[in-house]
Amino acid sequence: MTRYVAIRLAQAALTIYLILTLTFVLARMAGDPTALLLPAETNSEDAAIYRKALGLDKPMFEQYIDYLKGAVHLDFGRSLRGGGPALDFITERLPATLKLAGISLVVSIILALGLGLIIELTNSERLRTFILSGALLREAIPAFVFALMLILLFGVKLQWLPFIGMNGFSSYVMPVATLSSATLALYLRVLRSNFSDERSKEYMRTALAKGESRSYAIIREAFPNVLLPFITVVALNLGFLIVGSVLVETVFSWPGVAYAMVQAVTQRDFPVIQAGVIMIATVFVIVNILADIVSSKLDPRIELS
Amino acid sequence: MRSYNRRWIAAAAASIAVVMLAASCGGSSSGGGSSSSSDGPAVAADISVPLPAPLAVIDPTVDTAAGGTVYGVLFRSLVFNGLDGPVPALAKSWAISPDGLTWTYTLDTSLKFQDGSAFDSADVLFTFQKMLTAGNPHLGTLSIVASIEAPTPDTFVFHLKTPNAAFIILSGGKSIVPSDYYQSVGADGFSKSPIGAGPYKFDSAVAGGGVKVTAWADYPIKQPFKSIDFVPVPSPQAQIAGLQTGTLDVVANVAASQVETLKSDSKLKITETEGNNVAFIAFNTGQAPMSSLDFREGVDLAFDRDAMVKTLLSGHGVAAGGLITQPTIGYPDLDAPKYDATAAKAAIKKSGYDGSAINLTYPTSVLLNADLTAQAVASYLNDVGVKVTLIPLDYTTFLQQWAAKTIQGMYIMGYNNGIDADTIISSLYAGGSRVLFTDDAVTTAVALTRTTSGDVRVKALKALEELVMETKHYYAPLMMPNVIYASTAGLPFTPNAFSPMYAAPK
Repeated sequence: MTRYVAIRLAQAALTIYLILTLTFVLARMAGDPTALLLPAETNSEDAAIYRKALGLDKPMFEQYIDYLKGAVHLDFGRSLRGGGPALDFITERLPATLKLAGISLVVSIILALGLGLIIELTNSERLRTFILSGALLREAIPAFVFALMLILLFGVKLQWLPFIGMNGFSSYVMPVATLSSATLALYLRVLRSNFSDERSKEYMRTALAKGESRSYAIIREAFPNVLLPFITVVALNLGFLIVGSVLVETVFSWPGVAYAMVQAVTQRDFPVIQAGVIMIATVFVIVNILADIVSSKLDPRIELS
Repeated sequence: MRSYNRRWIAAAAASIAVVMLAASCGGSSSGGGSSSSSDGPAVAADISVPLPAPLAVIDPTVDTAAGGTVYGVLFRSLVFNGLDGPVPALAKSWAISPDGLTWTYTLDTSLKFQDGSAFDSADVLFTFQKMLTAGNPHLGTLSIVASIEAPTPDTFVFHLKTPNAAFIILSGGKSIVPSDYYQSVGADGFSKSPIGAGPYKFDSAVAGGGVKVTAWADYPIKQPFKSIDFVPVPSPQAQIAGLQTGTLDVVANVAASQVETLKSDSKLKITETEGNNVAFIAFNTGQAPMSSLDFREGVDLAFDRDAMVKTLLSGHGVAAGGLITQPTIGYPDLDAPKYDATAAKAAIKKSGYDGSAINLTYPTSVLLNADLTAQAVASYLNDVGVKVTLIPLDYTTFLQQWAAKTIQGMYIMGYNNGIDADTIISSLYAGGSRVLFTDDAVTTAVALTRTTSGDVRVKALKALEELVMETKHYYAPLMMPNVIYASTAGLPFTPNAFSPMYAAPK
């Protein structure tokens, strides 16, 4: 296990280094940010002085080395727009994103497991078709369109729920509904397929032959085995939560990292873009390692190598 | 069976761990870094106003753009830029040397900052020293300042490199911060808890760029609102939806197409003012055929501007005769060029234009009805024989190309005037990084607007506009859209084209 974790951490470090480099290159390719930061009255000479003060006149390789040196100490420089440390700018907004993503993750798991179990326990083809069709319909609607539909219905028409910013429990409802429902169809398909596999296995026939009821056998015998591949799929889909939160935070003016990143990209605020991407990538890599470890703990057949 | 039980317990434990992890995230009191309760009940505010972008910082000494509306209520400047011109604020009076190079402000040291600390010239000196530091974006507008000094506590002096009559307006746009407080808490501390001398004081901020301000009881004029919540809501559609549901109280720049719908809502009030934005076409005069005066004149004559206002702005605007807009000090009131397709064709033919396609670049935001406007312009130009290739760019990319002067052919832009005509002059006529022509006659005419005052300056401004628009045709002005506000009915809100619009006027 120790060796496995060490190898995975080394791989994670390499991944993060590559992301650091890619982010640097892509951000620089997006163009000179000084035009966005200076008033239109600024003449070329003053613009050049400003560029020099920000260190943007240095050769690209020199900027890259400075950037890597800073990154090692978690120093991504200061925000070009706000002036404060770029990493602080991101970490201040991280709790809002973690709350939204975390709650959405839990809701999506509960929703999928609950509906998956109901479908399996009732064994009703009509109910299965109804639930899966609804989930597929939701999956077919882009997240921002679905979010806008929710806003129009529950925010504007019925005026039941707030849709601007993060203000209390009710403001979570629509963003969480948007994020958590997006993967529902995928999760239900995974559960359905796994339940189907487990049903035909000998231990299930044995359980039924011993007189256990069908419901009891599904919950007690099949369900724990169904959970294992389900958790793997959920872990692989964590990236979706991050991508999805970019759209959802923007539509709902949610004060999170993704919303800040969109603003930073618009304003070519390199240090904030870099700090944000690295923060998200690090969280993603760590969560994936944890997911692998949890899977191996749950299923002794999975060997960490 | 036993192994399955163990797996079941492990799976359940893992699920509970996930739930607890999420719950711990959800229960964090840091609430997005809020200095107020961002996760509790919504902050109560008399009015809520959308910000088009979150504030990255609340510090007028380092920020020139995003915080304009907020700074207008939190801080005061040396003078207040009223609609009819500057009036005293932190300065009681000002005097200009005969050569126009030395501006001496007499400060009102009886005034205080919101923390009760006294105001004097040290605060002004500290503020402008910061703004004049290399790397500060204010340098762009303050580049005409040669030096500053604070000879006495109630006197502050600017020495300019060249005379500029509009410097008084420029000084009215720079918020003054308390020197001692700023230095004691540092830049980051000041941004987290700013103090000014404006009519509203800082109450709280939410990570993500929102800010709440409350009326400052010691401000000499009673304010119309007890508090103002500035909420970042970039999407215009979300802003309107917020207004309809009562989440927001005032929305600016309502699309003309939405006016009739919103008017039918008895809870809302629609107010319209003359706008400070002008849509225009600019030419890269370093390239043929734009280098030809005949070609530029032909393009200028090619548009039925009244029809464009009627169709593209639903009548909510006027045809533009120049780039200086109606509410701007120094508005020369030029007539819009008359639509004459025949004369336009003749001028374009005379220019020797060979019929090849010319790039027509435009930003897809900022410019009102950008795509439709660009298509209309292309259509009118096609009618007079000019082929164009439309190049839509996101605003940021457009801005970069614009500042780097790399836009080929022609471009369409919507540009905001400042309260004085010199903003547009500095940006688009002389010296600024967006000027695509060099012309000694224009330089001389610009200098005249900066070395004169009163009626003489108004005449100089009109002469400059006539030279740039009607004689040289460096720009083809198109339309000036009105600014349309939608607000909660009964709100004591009188909009104008310029900030600060939520504070009682000086």
